[in-house]
Amino acid sequence: MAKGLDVGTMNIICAEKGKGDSISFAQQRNAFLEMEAGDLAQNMLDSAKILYTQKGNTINVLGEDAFKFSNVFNKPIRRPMKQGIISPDEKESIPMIKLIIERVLGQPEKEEEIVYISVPASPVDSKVNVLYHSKTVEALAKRLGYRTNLIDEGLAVVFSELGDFNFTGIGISVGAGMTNITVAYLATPIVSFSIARGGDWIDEQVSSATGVANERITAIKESDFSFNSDYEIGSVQGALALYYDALITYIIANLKKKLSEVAPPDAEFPIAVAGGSSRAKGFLEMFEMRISEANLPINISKVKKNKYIASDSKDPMYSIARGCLIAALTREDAEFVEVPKEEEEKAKKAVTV
Amino acid sequence: MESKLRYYFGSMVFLSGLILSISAIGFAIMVHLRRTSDPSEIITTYGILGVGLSFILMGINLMVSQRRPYGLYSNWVMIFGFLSSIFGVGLFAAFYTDNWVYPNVSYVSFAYASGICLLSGNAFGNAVLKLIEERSRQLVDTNIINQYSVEDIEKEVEKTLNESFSETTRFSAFSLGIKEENPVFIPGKALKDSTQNKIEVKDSIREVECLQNTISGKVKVNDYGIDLTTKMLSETMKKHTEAQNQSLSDKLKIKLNSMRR
Repeated sequence: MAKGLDVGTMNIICAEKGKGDSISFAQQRNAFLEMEAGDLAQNMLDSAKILYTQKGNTINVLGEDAFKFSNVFNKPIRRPMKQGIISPDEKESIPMIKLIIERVLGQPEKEEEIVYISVPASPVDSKVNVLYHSKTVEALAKRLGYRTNLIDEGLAVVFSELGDFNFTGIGISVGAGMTNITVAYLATPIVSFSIARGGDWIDEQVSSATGVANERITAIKESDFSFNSDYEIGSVQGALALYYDALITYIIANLKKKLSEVAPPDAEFPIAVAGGSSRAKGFLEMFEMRISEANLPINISKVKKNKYIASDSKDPMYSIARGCLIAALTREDAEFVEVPKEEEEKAKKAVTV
Repeated sequence: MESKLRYYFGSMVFLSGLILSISAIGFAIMVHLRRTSDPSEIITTYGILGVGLSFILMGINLMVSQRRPYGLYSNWVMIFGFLSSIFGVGLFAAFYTDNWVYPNVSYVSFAYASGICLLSGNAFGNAVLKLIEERSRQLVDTNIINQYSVEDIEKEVEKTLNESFSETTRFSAFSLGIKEENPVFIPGKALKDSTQNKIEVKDSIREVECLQNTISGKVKVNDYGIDLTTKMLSETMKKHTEAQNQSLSDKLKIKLNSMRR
């Protein structure tokens, strides 16, 4: 069965069809924490069923637990990806991503199983090139025996969220490292670009403004932050609201600039927002407000809201993996339909001969 | 007049004027022209120089002249200016030395100066107009590039649609291989033994069918009502055709019978 893989800066998520009418998501944090190796530490980690690897005298704790340990020991975590692509500053980035991908994707159930992998579009405000990242991630999945296809993160959002609108609209994925935007018309991308700012940028700015550690800011942002609240002067929440608003304004300004360079068809374009960094309560209301003020050169019908429910597949964090899965299943179905036709033709030829 | 022909004449007149002016200066140097020189030498020098200057300006005017509507007025100004300056030179030749007194000197000066002013002013005006028009034409051309017709957009959408699901879109076709190396990292117990936790959520993923339909442009319908109506319509159409055929054959029979009678 086909799979969808979202390789994000913060999370790596795999989506596959579950039993009956369901989707099954496998998720791991794309982060690790280096610790000193020792029998006591190893026994403790083994008994707590914590994922780790050992290399010489060091232990690398993987995934969600790396964040927990980081907060406890006040030690910075290491991230294999930075600004949406494989981090060039992290020497262990590829082995770590490889381990996490192997963990969430698993082995293919059949030969040449299709997997669609989300990759970022070229950024408009950075010289970063996404080709090396895309090809490396593709190679890691190929190595497991999958038939890989790459898809823009923004387009994956369109596939996941805008089915009711004939896949016409704007898909925005506000991730940790990057924000990916795709304007699609009937499932075909018209404009696809990314911005080298996302949740991490907010964390960095808030951290440098308030002096609180980056990891702590991430934890507050994910658990104890919402828009539409009053904030104390000097509070982390107040700074988060400020930088969230700055990010939204920056995204819309770049979207407006890009749209002025193309001639989009005369149609209604709803907007779907997804990605881990759009999970903050009140984010979409703020986004809707800023969009209405922006006067974009296309007809925006609505901003499609994703209710944040952790157990729902409509959780904005899972949207990209879900979009990848939709693309993969569609591809699989298309190929399944094509095969009998070929066989039929062969049979016809055989009969005429 | 064709613009190429105007350029030909213009450049020819300009060069003639230049040669005349240089010749006049050469002549003045040769005869050591001064105030007390022979009047014929003065008339020859200034006459040739005056005509030469008029020719130079006339040549420039011909080369930078505009088309209608400005071109019409510009041509009249050019002709009047040229004639006026030549008339001034002629008057100078006629009045010098015997009648070279007030008010004749004023007439000569006015005729020549007005002619030269009209010619140079006209040339300047035309050059400015040409510059403005060139700039506006460039702007119009740039706007044309950015304007897309509905057909262009549809073609582009179709092209992209065809490419959207092909493997060689914007990515390099190069496949990066990863060499199997000895594992540097020893996986922990949980990483080796435990299975990955999965969140299972109810979702029919009906977007798959929608996407298939949107991409292929085909819609599969399993509707009993539509099937039944289609069958009924086809039967009705069949009956209608049979009835028409029947009525035609009946009419033919009646006609044949009437002819026999």
